[in-house]
Amino acid sequence: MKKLLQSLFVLLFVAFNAMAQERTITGIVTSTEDNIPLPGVSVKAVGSQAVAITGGDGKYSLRISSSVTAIQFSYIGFSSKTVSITSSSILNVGLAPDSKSLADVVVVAYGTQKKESITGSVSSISAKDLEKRTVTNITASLQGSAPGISVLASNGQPGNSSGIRIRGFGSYSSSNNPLIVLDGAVYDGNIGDINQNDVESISVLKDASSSALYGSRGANGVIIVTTKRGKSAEPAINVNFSQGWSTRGIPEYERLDAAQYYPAVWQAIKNNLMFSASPVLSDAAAATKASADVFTNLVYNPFNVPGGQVVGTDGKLNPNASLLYDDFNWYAPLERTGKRTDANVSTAGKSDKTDYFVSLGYLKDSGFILKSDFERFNARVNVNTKLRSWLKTGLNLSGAMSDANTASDASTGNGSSFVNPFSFARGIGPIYPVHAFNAAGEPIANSLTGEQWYDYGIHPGAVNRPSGASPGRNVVYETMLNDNAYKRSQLSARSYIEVKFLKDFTFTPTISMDLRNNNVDQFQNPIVGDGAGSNGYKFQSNAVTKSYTFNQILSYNKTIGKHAISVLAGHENYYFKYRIFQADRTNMVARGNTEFANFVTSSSSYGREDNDRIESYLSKVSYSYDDKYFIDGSLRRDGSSRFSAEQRWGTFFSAGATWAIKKENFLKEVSWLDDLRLKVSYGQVGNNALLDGNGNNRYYGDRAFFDLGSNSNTEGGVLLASIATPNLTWEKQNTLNTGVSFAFFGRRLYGELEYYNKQVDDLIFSVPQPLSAAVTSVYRNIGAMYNRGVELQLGGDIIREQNFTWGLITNWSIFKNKITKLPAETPTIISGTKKREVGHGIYDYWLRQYAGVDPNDGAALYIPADGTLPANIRTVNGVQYVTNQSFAKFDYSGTAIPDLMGSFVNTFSYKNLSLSFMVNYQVGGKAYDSIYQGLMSTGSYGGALHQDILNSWTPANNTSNIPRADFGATANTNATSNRWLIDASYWSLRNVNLSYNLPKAWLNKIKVPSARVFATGENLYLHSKRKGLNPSESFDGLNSNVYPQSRNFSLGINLTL
Amino acid sequence: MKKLLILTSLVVALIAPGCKKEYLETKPTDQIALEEVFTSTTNANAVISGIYAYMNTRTTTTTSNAQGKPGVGGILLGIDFMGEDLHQAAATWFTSTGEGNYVAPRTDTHASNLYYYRTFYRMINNANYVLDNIDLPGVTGLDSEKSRLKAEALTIRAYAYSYLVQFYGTRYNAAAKPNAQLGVPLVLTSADIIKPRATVEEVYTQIVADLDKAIALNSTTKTNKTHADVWVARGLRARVALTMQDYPNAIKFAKDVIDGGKYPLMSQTDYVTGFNNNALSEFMWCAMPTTEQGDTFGSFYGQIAYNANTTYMRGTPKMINSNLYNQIPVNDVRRKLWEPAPTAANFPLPTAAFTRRAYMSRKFSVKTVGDPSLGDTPWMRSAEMYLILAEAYARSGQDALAQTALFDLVKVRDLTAVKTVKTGTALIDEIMINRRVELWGEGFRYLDLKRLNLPLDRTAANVPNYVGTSVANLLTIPAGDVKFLFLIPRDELNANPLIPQSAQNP
Repeated sequence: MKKLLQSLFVLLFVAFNAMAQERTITGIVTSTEDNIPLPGVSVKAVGSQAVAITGGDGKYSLRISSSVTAIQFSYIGFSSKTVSITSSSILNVGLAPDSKSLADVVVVAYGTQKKESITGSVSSISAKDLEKRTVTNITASLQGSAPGISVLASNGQPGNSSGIRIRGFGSYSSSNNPLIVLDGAVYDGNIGDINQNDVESISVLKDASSSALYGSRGANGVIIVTTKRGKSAEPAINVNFSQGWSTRGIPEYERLDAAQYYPAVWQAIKNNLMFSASPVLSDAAAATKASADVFTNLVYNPFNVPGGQVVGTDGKLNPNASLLYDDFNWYAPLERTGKRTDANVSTAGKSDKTDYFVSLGYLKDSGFILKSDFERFNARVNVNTKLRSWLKTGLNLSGAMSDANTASDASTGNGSSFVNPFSFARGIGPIYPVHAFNAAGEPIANSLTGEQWYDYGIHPGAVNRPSGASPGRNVVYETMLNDNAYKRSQLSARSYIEVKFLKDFTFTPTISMDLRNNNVDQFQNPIVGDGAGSNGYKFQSNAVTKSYTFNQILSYNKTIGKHAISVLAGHENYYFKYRIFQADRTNMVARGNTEFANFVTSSSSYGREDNDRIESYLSKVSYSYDDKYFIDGSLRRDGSSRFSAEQRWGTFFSAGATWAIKKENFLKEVSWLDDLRLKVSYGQVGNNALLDGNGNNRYYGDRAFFDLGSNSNTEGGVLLASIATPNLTWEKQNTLNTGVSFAFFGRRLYGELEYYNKQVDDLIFSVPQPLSAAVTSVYRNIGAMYNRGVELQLGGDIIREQNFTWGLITNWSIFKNKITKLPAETPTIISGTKKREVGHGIYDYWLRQYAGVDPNDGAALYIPADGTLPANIRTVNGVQYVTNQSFAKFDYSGTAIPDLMGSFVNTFSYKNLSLSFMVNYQVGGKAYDSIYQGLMSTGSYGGALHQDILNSWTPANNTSNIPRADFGATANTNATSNRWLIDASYWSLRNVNLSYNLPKAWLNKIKVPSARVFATGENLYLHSKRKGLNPSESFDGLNSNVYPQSRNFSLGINLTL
Repeated sequence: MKKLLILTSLVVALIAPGCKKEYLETKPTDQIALEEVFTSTTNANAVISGIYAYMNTRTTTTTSNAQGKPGVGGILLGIDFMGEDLHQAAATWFTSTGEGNYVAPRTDTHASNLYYYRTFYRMINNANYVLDNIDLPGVTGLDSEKSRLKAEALTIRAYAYSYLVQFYGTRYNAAAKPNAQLGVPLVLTSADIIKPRATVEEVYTQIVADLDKAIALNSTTKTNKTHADVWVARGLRARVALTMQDYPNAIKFAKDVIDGGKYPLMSQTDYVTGFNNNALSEFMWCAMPTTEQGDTFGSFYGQIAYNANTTYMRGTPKMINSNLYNQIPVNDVRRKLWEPAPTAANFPLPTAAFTRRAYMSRKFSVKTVGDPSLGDTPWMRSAEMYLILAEAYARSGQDALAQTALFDLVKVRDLTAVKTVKTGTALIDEIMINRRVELWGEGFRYLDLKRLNLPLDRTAANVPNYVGTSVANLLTIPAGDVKFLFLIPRDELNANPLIPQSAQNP
């Protein structure tokens, strides 16, 4: 009753007021999210011409006639709001950010588009989303951001890019990497050089109709990064500072300790002598010999009893044995607490003719492993100005200088190298100390400095470790003494002239340039390791990448009544040049100087240039009626220098339609439905990014070549490298995308469900040739494959109270990958652990079939291959097996592709406080755990062993399902087989962000418009099926000795001045 | 409208320059097109030189332990470690990496197996390109140059097949002709891609045919000893004949080389200089890397030279079978190549970090300590010809000639030696002991065991200083055992439909 009265009173009041002639309304517009005043908000009286703009303090003043009953507030990036006016002349309004609003403008191929008009599949990430992440490389921020985007767990090396796949795997022997576009042109710099703080939005084009305008390069999806520009009339200064700390994010595998290790090795030696030696020994003789041999083979004895007595003939550690020293954790001296400092200052502003954005950034990210860091200076100037009413121009210029030290790991091609700290520290047996000790267990000190020597095989009193324990090497010492650094400088420029003419036409020539200079600097010291044999080694390379994109786009936009049409036509020219020079020298003169001049002997030098060019014509037509029906189509013709003259031109196209059903009359009245739209699109895009076996681009894939450089003495020599394949052409990808998007209950529940079918034709396979052939692989367009998937993004505002909100966004992706065509002459293609065949996916495992353990001798049993000779068969309990893996049957063994992938993001906000966390997960799929396989191998003396080895078969433990540990049989007992597959399901707490907007009351005192403090955690927890395993390390399910991803924690502050 | 016209012409003007056809023509700068290679004998020579360089370069076939796989040299070392006369005290390269423990031959995915197979086939295929293209009308150059290139290509091809057939086929048995057991695919032209396994007989027939053709081309001019001239072809022909138990031809061709006098035996002084130099008189065929082509770790000398400064050589000196050593006469210069009781005085080493072990070798030395383990890997020495000659005489019952042939070698090695008077098996045994001592480390022992159908015996009675754990205690293999037979690599089976699982070796 009280409410009714109130309303009545208001109504009367309004009616009374309407009689007045004119009045002034004033107020302040703020963001509901953080209560910061919003400058530049357009304030408009509904039904009249009166307009105002808020000032830098968010205040406005609008003079309106008495007939005006409502005022509309609109601002880019925020939901527009129409507020009825009351008698009060003060109207303060809060605008809510509208990242999910359909009115959003999204950056798409060659332009921007209202989100509602998109007929394809585009996901976008805003600066607001990026703010929550403290990642050194922006690729990591795509993780979990939208369905259909698979991002690998980042390598822990600071600054490293994460692998990205969009909607499955579009290619086999060509690149699967999405195209990166920066501010309108294909970006040839390193994505690690883009400052996250400069990024306004990232759009991910997932289907063919969105990416068709990128023609021959669009097949793997496109990631469009758009940098910031000045938006508000009031110049703003933004200062952002964060300080972070990092540690190892994935635990180590469970390995044996020193006391467990000696007996385990004893057992494996005894098993060798009893079962795989020739001649074999009796149990007793083997036990006695093993007790002696265990020390002679392990060489080191850190116990206080003689080496031959460490393990008794009973296989147990001598009860009197205790450790003389404990210096076996090789990670400890290599690890440190990583530090990350990120400081940015930017200014931005906009007048009616010119806008600008200027930023400076500094980032230093030191990893949790010695000598791994990344330091970057960034600067950007983005200026756009309207010279005449019909002429506009702009320049977006950015530069970055990066300076990094790189840890050697599998991602740098050093998977099992002695300088890889991870493989070394993981793989060395737990009885080998980091520092030097003598047989009595006393430290061996350098007589000059008094410091204890590192144990590196050349120090006084050195003893060589056995081959499994990296003899003669010491990764701690080598990491300290060696250098593996790069310096990169990057300059990117994007400039355009926009000419408007004949009212509806715009002509925009654009020139974009990326220039990158990359210096690699490696030094191997003369004391220990690879440089020791040549008295020091120095390698240096300099690579320059230059690329230009030059395009001219003519566009026509016209709205006639409810009809809106836009047409775009253009020409584009792409020019890419890569030049590298490298050299190395040996024989160092004076210590401390690692420049070439300080080395005596020139050892080798090399140089090369690569060119890649594309010539294109493109066009697009869009039409919409009443914002209800949208159709568009695009066409692009590309000529690529990567193919022969006969094959190089290709035409790519797309067509799509969207129907905004909610706008139909029959749904207009359904109040609980806010939005419902259907869309469908179809298109064809290409992939010209042919790769060689090492993952490098192949620019000349169609011809037969000999490699230069195989010189013999003073005579030049060449070796056949490839054979001619003149018919090689692009892969073509035809994608059907359909989707429905919806919002219910006042946008409390919203989402989008999409189905796609990506059909790849002329799929290029690097067809393995017999080892007896001239080349071991030939590239041919022989296959076809599809990726079909369903993606769902479902969001909800679970709680939407004035002071407290809880929002949840979930992403779900499933897809199936299947090969649909391979030619009759090569119906199957087997490489590594996978086999490709019609009806199977590209990551289907093809492995030898492990069948358990023979209880009689602990041999690993395998299912026999068809046609295995009886001599090679072993019958156990009436079943036929083989024990030599070479005769084991191969079979399909599941896939590396998970059944379901997804993420969910929870965001809570209470008053000024906001907390969000993101969880990534995957269900199903299998990982091939080769690291575990290595740790279960007793193939060489001195290597670390996994705890599971303790449960392996022994005569006393003959029901074990782990074959016997045996130094003479590991090739068969531990062979590559389906035994090493493990469920790849995991979940990971990827990101947590807590932020607090400092109250206005405090800030006013120090004249700061807004300030936010925040705390962020990245990669806080990973749960996988085996401790140490990171199932999101690779797409093909294999793992290697990589820099484990780091767990980061940061504190930061963001000030707007 | 005028504005539109201006702009349209602007658009056209901007598009036009990009349309030039050659804009899209690019080519690599670190490769040379096939068509350019076979335009002249000078260019074609680069293919032959490329093969020689490849024979002395660490493998790229496999990433596993590639530095222990320096081209053909690594294979020669590997197969010597498969015998009993060359060994080391620890399970490391060449012992636990698949060779000494016989895991590589019996594992179809083993890196060393792949490396052996691919190394020789890559040589064969590059040689095939020369043979296919050198006579094309577009190739300029002297006919004599074409003959030379052809002869070298044929010799290289025969050399490669001679190893492949011995690894992947069971032994050639002259008493069981034709040897119908499966050998290896015979890839003979650049168009051959998928070939089935030919029989051992067919492979040998091809090897002999290639060598006879090469010998007929009589190529005698060469830039350096890396090139396989007619003398190398003859030497190889003798070696192959010996393997085929074709003693008349072994005698004929070995004798041809010896009588040719081009490669006299080394002096006693030269003999102890480290077997690393093409200038040594009896080197018939060898690699000749320059410093730039050297490889500290991934080279033959990086694995075998006693003074190569690598962890492997510092920690694992190579030893000779002590029983074999003890049969070397006291005055024989060859005794100096090993040291039964090495000390700092009698066996100086570059640094204190080098390990000494009884019966360690100093046969191979790097040219200069510090230079990247440089040396000229020998592929053929004339001493082998004396041994072939002696053995072939002895095995064909011509003991007197055998005694002389052996003495021609022994008298140079041991200035006090007297001609043996042994006959029959005893004579053969003496020749074989000389062969084992003389060719130690050069890649013969495994092939001899297989050729002669002998067992492998590393037990204490035969090799007192053998360290069993270095090879996972694999001390004996009976004669003719399946372990002596390499399995065809899985990668070949996977991509070659003409070699089904049923055509795999047992």
